[in-house]
Amino acid sequence: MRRTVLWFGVILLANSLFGQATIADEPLSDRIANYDIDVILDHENRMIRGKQTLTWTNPSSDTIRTLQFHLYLNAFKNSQSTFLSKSSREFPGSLKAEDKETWGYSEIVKFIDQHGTEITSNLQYIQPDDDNTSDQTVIELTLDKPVYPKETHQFKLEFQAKIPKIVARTGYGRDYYFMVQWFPKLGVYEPAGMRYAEKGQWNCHQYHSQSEYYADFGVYNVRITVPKDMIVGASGIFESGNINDDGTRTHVYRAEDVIDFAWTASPHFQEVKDKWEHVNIRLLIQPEHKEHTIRYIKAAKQALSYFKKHLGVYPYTTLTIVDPPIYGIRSSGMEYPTLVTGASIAKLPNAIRTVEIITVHEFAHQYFMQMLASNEFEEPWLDEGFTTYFENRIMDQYYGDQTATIDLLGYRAGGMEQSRTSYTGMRNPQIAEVFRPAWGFKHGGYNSLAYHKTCTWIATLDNMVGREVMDDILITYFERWKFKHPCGQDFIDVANEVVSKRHGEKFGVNLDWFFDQVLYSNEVCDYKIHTITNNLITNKIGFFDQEGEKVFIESREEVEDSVYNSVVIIHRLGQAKFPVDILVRFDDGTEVLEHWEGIDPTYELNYTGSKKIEWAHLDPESKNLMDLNLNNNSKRVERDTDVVWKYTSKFMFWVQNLITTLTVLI
Amino acid sequence: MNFFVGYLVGIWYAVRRMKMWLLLYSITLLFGITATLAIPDILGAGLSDTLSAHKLMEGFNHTVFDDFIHDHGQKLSVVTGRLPLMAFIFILLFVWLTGGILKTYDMIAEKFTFQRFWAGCMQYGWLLTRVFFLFLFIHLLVAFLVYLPMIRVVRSGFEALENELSFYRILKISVVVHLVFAVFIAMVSDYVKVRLVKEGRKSVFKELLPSVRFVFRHFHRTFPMYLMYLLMFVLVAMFYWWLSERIGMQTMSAILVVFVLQQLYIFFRVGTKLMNLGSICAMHEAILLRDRKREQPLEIEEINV
Repeated sequence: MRRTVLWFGVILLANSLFGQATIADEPLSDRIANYDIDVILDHENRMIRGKQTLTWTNPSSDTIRTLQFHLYLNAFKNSQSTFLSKSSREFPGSLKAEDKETWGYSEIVKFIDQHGTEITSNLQYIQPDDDNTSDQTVIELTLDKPVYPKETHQFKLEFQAKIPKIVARTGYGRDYYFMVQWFPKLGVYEPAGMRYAEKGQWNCHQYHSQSEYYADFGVYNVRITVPKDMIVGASGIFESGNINDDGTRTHVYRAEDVIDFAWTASPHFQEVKDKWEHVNIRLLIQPEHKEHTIRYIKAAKQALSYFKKHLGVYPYTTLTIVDPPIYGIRSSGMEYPTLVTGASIAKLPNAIRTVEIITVHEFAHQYFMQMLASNEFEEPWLDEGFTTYFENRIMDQYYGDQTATIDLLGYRAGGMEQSRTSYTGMRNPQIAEVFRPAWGFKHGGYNSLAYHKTCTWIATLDNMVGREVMDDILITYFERWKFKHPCGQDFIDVANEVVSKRHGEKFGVNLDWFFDQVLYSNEVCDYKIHTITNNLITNKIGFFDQEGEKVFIESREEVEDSVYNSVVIIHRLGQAKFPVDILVRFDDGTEVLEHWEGIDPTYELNYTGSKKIEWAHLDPESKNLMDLNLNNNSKRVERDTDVVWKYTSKFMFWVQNLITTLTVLI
Repeated sequence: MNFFVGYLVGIWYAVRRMKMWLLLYSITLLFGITATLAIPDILGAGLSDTLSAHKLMEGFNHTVFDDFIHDHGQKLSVVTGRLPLMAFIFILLFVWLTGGILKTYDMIAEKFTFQRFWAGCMQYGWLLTRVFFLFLFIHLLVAFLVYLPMIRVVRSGFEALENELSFYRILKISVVVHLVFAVFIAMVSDYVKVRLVKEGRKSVFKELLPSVRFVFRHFHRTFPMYLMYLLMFVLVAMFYWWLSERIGMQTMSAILVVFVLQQLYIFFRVGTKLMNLGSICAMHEAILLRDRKREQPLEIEEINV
């Protein structure tokens, strides 16, 4: 009976979800920017032509007289765009000067306002980030009639775009299309008090090579017309598909409560369908990568399951994973609402877990940047750092904390440890602080700092406050800010609130001291056990009066009741200051756990007694992953040379092997 | 002489010249020790007094290794940076030593003396150096020609290919073709050396064609003999790997045992080179003798006519 009821419930739920983009009955977001788009792909000329209706609500109490739109594809219009001119090393030769088919652009050809007036001539390119007047990735429209507070307006526009060859994220490669940032997309109007806005303002940055996106939530109804042999994947749910008289097919998709809409088309995709609870998983995989099907699906399900347990349920009913071909590899590893790109190559061994890592990472972005729609331009750490942190938690849980990224021929590495070393192993970990806009990492460090340093300090915070409290912080942050636009300070506020509620003042009045160091400064942390000494204190040394005479006693020999003065000296090599525990072990097997606030440049532990120190270990549980060198966190009094001889013999063996191998040339 | 007998005779040659074998192994050991001299100090400075070291005793540990490299990598790279030069010096030295090897093999019936060995090194050193550079050039040229299509594919950004499977196919074909050519070139190079020493010739170029002809004409002997050594090497390498993995290197005594195994393996690898050269000498001599025997009656008939 119970089983019947259960099945009945499942069928009811399935029926109710059929055709829904999310599992919610009510809108999940405030749906500020809503798009109805008809787009036609001109495969022969590598063009798209579209008609778009934008329904936008002024979220502020301001009267708005201008609109700002992103025209992302203009990043690939010419070599003078901000995207290309400042990233010459990143994209050498990808856009060939001699081949005009590799370049692309986007333009609004017609703009009609709410009142039916064509105001196309009011459009003007602007450059809010730099003075590069050649950059046309942002366009501003001066309205004839303003949009008053809370008023909803409908704008109709026509656009066309020449699709560039895939250089980064978007474009085409042969007959594979990955269409993201393809339509004129409205910026975000931030009312005073929202995020860091002191007054109402448009937030609409130019497209930089390292920056990603920022947009308002809305509903997208998109009709995509492509040659009929092409298989299409897109954000949201598939509603219908009709074959047209001209040999094309129109695919209709609807996505709700999302910040963007992406689609892809290729005649070569092989479609694999699977299901996880309420989520229809659709994998569009290249035939030559079919061997990785299970890896993609398994990783997606692991991520869905982990997030449900530790952060919140995935509210959408679809998840499309696109596996790009080798000639579209530059579109791999990207995230868009309910649609992500993986990365694989044929014959990639299972022990190299690129497929799983990318799938989990991009799925994690459904939370950090999609539902928690932070500004990826201004605070890339807020999505990439948290995403990397969750990616590593998931990967380490399912694939082992020392084998999650690779486990091949004796070489192995876990997710979290690889993230940590990506930061600690930087040539200059002080090259910049994490809190910078994406285009602010002018001299490098974007990836290591925004992704990995952030992941490492979140993991350190996790270790400090405990997993339960950390999950509490993350869940509170998610619940409070989902389908909104949080900023870094919002996360800090939540962390301070939850930690103080759960731990009182154990970590101080708040955690600002922590965030000041890891987020807002470039200081590094490195504690080191400098020396350990065990000095024998002899009972008798010097002149002693014995029976009226002065007797000199000089014995330094150890006797049974010898007393030692044992000292551990610790150095703080970095500028960052973290409280730290020190475990000291004595030769009788006893251990003492000490605590140091880590403020002074040096610190000393002093013991007097009959036992000698055997070793000392700073941060014995390795909670502080920000420490640049964990090897110098411990020291033993007696050296252990086993490891030295192990690797010396290995090294010598490989040298001998190398030179004897070379004798085949003789 | 068939290929199997040639293979066995090669082993017998090497065993009979055990002193020479030991000498060559000792030189390999000396190079190994020289290259490794600084390693204990570098490892000791970073790992001997940290508690993290035990993780490396259990196996590879990314965190410990990476922190060590970050701290001491520059010192290590100084050591590894010297390796190419050391390897080049070793090759040149071995080229000279090959003269001694071939000389003593040429007089296999006689008792081994180091005097004769060193005399061989001096006598043929320069000649064999020329052989080495000539064949190195041929090896590089062939490798370039074989991998050229692949290089072009990579440079074109995979434009010319349907997908990466096509690339793998080209790679596989290239590797197989290269291996076939490399083995053939190595065989010819060996027979050129043997002909130069055993027949006292002086011109490297003049010996090229006869050696190619020799290898081709007796392919059913020369090639399987090479394969036998290749097979023996693969089997011993696999056995070494299996055994050392089973023993592990987690205690000092296990480290010592594996160290001995490693040196035995290197000793065997040096021996493989000696065995191979021995086989080639024996095969060359046997075929030459047979051919001369065949030629002799003809000469008598001619006189009778």
